[in-house]
Amino acid sequence: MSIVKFDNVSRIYTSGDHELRALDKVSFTLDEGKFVVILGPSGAGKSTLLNLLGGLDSPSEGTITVSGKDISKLTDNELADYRASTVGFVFQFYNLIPTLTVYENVKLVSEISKDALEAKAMIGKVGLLDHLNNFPSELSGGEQQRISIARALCKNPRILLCDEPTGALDSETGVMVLKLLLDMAKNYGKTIVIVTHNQNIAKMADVVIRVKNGKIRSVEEQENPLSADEVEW
Amino acid sequence: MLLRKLLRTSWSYKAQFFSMIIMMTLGIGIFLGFNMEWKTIEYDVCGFFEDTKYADYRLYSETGFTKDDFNKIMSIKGVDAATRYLSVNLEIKGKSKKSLALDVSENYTVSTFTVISGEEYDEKGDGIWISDKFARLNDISIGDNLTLEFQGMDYEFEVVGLIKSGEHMICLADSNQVMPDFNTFGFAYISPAKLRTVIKEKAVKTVSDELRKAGLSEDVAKSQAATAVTDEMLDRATDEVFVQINLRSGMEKTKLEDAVKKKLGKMLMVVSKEDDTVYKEAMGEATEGKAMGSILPVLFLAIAILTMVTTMHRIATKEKTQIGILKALGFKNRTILLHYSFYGLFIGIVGSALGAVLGYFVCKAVMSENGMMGTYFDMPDWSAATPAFCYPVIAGTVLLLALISFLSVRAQLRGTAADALRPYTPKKMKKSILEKLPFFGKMNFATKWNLRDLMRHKSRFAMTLVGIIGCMVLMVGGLGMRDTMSGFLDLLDNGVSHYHIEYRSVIDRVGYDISTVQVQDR
Repeated sequence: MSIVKFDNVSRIYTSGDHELRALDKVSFTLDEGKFVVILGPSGAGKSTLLNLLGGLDSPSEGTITVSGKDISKLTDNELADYRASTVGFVFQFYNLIPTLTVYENVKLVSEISKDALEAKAMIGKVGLLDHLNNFPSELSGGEQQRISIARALCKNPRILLCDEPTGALDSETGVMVLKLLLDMAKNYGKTIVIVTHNQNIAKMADVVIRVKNGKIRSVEEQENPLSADEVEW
Repeated sequence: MLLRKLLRTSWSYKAQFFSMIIMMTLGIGIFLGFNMEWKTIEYDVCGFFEDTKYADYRLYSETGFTKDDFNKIMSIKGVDAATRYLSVNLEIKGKSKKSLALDVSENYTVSTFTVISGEEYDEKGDGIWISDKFARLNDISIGDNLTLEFQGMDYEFEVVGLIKSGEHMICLADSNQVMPDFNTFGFAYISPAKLRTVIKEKAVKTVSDELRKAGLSEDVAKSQAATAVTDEMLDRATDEVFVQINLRSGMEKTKLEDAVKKKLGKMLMVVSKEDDTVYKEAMGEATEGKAMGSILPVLFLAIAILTMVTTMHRIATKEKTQIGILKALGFKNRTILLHYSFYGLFIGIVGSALGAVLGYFVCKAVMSENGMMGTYFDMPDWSAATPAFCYPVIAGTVLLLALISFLSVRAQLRGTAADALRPYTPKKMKKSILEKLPFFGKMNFATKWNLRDLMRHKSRFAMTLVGIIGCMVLMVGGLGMRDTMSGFLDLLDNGVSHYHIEYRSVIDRVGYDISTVQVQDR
């Protein structure tokens, strides 16, 4: 069953007379519960695509439908509600609030999400119960990304959006975080969309969308995706 | 959770936060302090004047006022209360260079006093009520006897009360004295009955002396003089002593002058309270305070607000990523704006609260018995009154700080959540007008860089400039004021007053040429 539908979506940035088409008439659909990798080089438009799907940005043209709802015409407040309830984000540089503790960072989302899960339980799932009262600056990069995953899942979103989640980590920690991310998403039945330029991650995906110069080059469904342990990193 | 974030973020920007709180405290403190000062002067002084029934007008007649004159003045429509009044400076016997202004208010409805300790006023009382401050500085207590020298005779009075009086709130011996000195000069009141006793003693002594000169023995002269001085003589002498009528009236000065002329058939000198030294000086202090309260504090507040604008903008740009994170997580713009506006509100509330405390102490440093005005004003109550307009100004300032935070953050929230998540990017640079000038190319690299930075941050540059101008104004103004005052005093002492000794002669009102001479040795 399709959860996401992009229909002729373009995102055009203008600066004076100059016009930049970051995404150009992109169309695709995603099924619920799938692990999707959006693959492409820097500047291909993959982060723009993720931002549009996450309600962080609005398309210049076309429609984006998520769970049957057109999000391309939502107001600022409606988009905020969409971000609070439907999508969870995992960023490359974690984007934790430095002045809140681990527990508070995760708990923070329960202030805006109606279906939020128990913060402490989520921290337990990512194995950081011993660090509840630590500030992000007291954690390693991998630990911070795990907290970021706990925060994203705590909102209990339908879709988990990850922008280069392992981009700032060494390969060993990256694999560990990736495994955790996939396990957690599978356990909680979430659709995961990961934006990356790492070809290896694509080997694990159910669907691989290749993006270049703002256009979709291909949408491939993989019959037998590899597990994290099977991929040569 | 966001409240915790607010407190921790405030702590992480502690240098900026404390400097903003200090600026706000100083701004509000100075603003409130100066404005409280003049308002307190008005409030306390006017209250004291009202309590002691300070006269609205003073009428002077060289030949004195008879009871008939007094009744005619009382009959003027618009005169609420009046009294025949006497105020004369007398030396204290046995105390070198100590003197008092001795006052008598025939009707205790105008120009009265407040008893600090001792007996309440009694119009038939035999004692003397003296200034409590003068008494304290000269070790005089209730029950002590004071001997005053009046027209060649000594009179002894028992101190029955210690008082303060509106008429002598600024207690100056004469117009040449700049500051009160209760060590050497005070004031006192006696009852009209006691005045009559004094006049009678004086009259008997004068007549007795004349009779002795005519050849009578001392005993005979004394007994004959005692019978020779009649009530009519005393009434006449009393009429001549009361050279002043103090009255309370809401009439205009010219109308009162006309009415007095019509009633008494002669033109008299009428002095309104606005022209009386005590009232004029006190209100002058309030006016001065108002002027100070509308210039200096506004400058301080302006500097505080400008600091807030630049600092909040800097904090908002530093916080841009966090603002973006909150937005990306699903927090609505209004929640984020409210959260960050609270930073300004927090600084405003804390700064205002501390400023209110500072303002109170600034006011008290000026307006208290031991403060600066304590050496000038002598009054019983020293409160701390706040002008009503200060409350909306403080509330407005606090709201303005919140608004500054609001606007700074709103600028970062503009656009999509993705825009908010991007790090702050400085605005695009264009070549400034300076760079088009021919000498620009000849400047060294560092100077060019500095000039470009100044042109790039025009508002910050302007605010800093205004701040420095403000500080310089305060510094030059403050130091200039001191130099001006010392120059003024020098001019007064050496340029205007070309004398060393001033003589004053008081004419014997009982009809004999016996004079006392007051000598001021400068």
